[in-house]
Order: sequence, then structure tokens, then C-alpha cells
Amino acid sequence: MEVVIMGCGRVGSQLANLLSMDGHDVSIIDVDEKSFNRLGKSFKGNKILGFGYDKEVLEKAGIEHADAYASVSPGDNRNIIGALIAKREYRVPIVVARIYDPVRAIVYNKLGITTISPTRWGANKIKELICHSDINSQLSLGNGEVEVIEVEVLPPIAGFTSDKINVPGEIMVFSITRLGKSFVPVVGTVMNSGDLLHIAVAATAIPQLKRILGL
Amino acid sequence: MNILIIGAGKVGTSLAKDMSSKGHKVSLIEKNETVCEKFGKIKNIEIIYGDGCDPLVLESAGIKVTDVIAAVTGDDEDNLVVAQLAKLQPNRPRVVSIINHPRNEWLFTKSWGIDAAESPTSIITKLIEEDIDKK
Repeated sequence: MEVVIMGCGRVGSQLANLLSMDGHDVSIIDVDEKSFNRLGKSFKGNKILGFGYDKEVLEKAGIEHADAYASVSPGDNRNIIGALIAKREYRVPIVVARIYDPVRAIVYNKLGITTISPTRWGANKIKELICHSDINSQLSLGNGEVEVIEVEVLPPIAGFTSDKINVPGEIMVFSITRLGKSFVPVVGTVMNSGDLLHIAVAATAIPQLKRILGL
Repeated sequence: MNILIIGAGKVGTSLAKDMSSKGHKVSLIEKNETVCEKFGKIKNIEIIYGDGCDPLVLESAGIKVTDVIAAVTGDDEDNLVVAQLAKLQPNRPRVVSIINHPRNEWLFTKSWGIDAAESPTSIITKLIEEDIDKK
């Protein structure tokens, strides 16, 4: 994929390196030449010095044929406008903007931009570590509103059917791993001691899930 | 008319005073607290301390009942953000703005929610060029 990144800070440089290591064609834009030092010597992509809204700069970065664009500069407004330019003026198929303010992140989702709010995600994650250190989260979806957790079946719930754990709209067991093989449970699937469950749970329902699991 | 002005810089302040003296109801949002405090009391102008790019600030400043929004901050990205938020409102207020840097002129169009925009740098440059040619 051809990817254009605006902003070579901590996140931008790491993102550029990750994508580049996976073999993607990366162009990264920043106004400060020194910021490119963060990329390290092994970075193979293009470093474009200039202002992120400048037509010339964007086109030099190859935005006209880019498959994806990400704005990760320190300013929310700059990221919003950068993402809108990529989407509206250049029709880039995948556009992501990092937005610190969670309220704004919601508003800009309405304008068709995928937004990631590290503020909300980070707060949700830290809260979870403080309050639910015994829950092993494998994956956070969205900004942490839904978590995918892994739980081993222990005697208090062994012998029950997996649908006993499900709560509509809040908790769902979607996979059971037994003796190294995974399957999707149906109504009536009995859980054995030692089974590994994968459960999708709304962040707000974690305490309820803990009660059900007897944790 | 209800006029909502974002940015109490030279343009915003002058515009607010002008429009209020003509009898319009003006709300002026400014994110610098000291500027707000110094502004003083002027008839028909309500000064609001806050970030005009924040959807909640715009809502409490009455964006839903305003006829015109003037996005006249010193940051082009802020002016563009205000325009995007304005066009999400059901009342679709008219949006006028200034372009601080001529390189951003290509973005201040209808498709970006801007109904009219002026570029002081471009205007002044043209005028000065004319002055030079006059001899």
C-alpha cells in the first residue's frame, strides 16, 4: 500500500517504521526537519519537508495515488483538516485522524473520518488495569468500548452451557478453545474445565462478567 | 441578525463593534482569557471565553440560532474547523471567513462549508502592486 502520514512525532515515526518494515510505501510529512531523526537510519520511505496542507507538499508525498492517509500531528484541528483534505480533495480510500479531544472525535466520525482518540482509549485502558487486573484483555475495539477477553474455564462454571454467560448487548462468548482447537459455540455447548473462552464484553459490563465467572 | 464571531483579534473585534453598532446581536468567542477580560462591556456584544473549535462551546454560544458565523481567527485550520461544525447544524448558518495564508486559499470554498472568504494578504499585495505601478 502507499501510505501518506502527516506528522513525524512519536506516533507518526513509529507508524511510518511499522508500515515500512511490512513493505508498504510510506511518505511522511513534517514541517520540522529534525523530527525525521526519530525515524532512524533504516527507514526506507520518503521524508517530505513542508506544510501538511500545501498542495505541492501533499502531491510530492504522492497523495494523488495513496491508498491510505493518517494525520498524527500534535494539533487536533490540523489533523481534522488534513484528514478532510485527503478525503475530499484527493479521495484517499482510507483516512484516519488522531484526535485527543473525545467530543471532537465523535463529531468528526459524522463527517466520515475514522478518528482515534488516545485520550479515551488510554483512560479506558488504565481504568481497566486498575479495576480489573484479573481480567486478561486480548483486544480493545473502537476506543475501548468493547473488550475481547480470554478466560480459562474453572470449576465454578465448568459443566454449564456457554450461553449462560451471554447477556444480550453486553456479553458474548464467541469462541471456545478445547485441546488446542477452537470452535464457535452454539446454544447448549457445555463448557469443560480447562477450556479457553474468548468473550466480547462491553467495557461497562466487565464487573457483571466478573460476577458471572465467579472472579 | 444574530452574528457569531470566532476570534477577538483585530478583525473579529472591529467586525463585532461595527455589526453591533448597526443593531445586530453579536456573540464573540475568544480562547485567550486575558483578551476576554480586557474587552469590557459593549452594548449588543456578548464576549464568550472558550475555544470556538469546540462543539460544546459553539453550542452554548448559540450556534443553533445564529444567522451568520464569521470565522476570523488567525489560524486557517481553526477557521476551517468552525465552518465544518457550522455546516453540521440543522439551521445551516451562513459562514464567512478570512484566509490568513494565501497558500490555503484553495480550501476556502463552498465544498468546505465556506460561503465567502477574504484573503487580506492577497488583497493588500494587489493594492500595493497597484500603488507601485502608479508612480
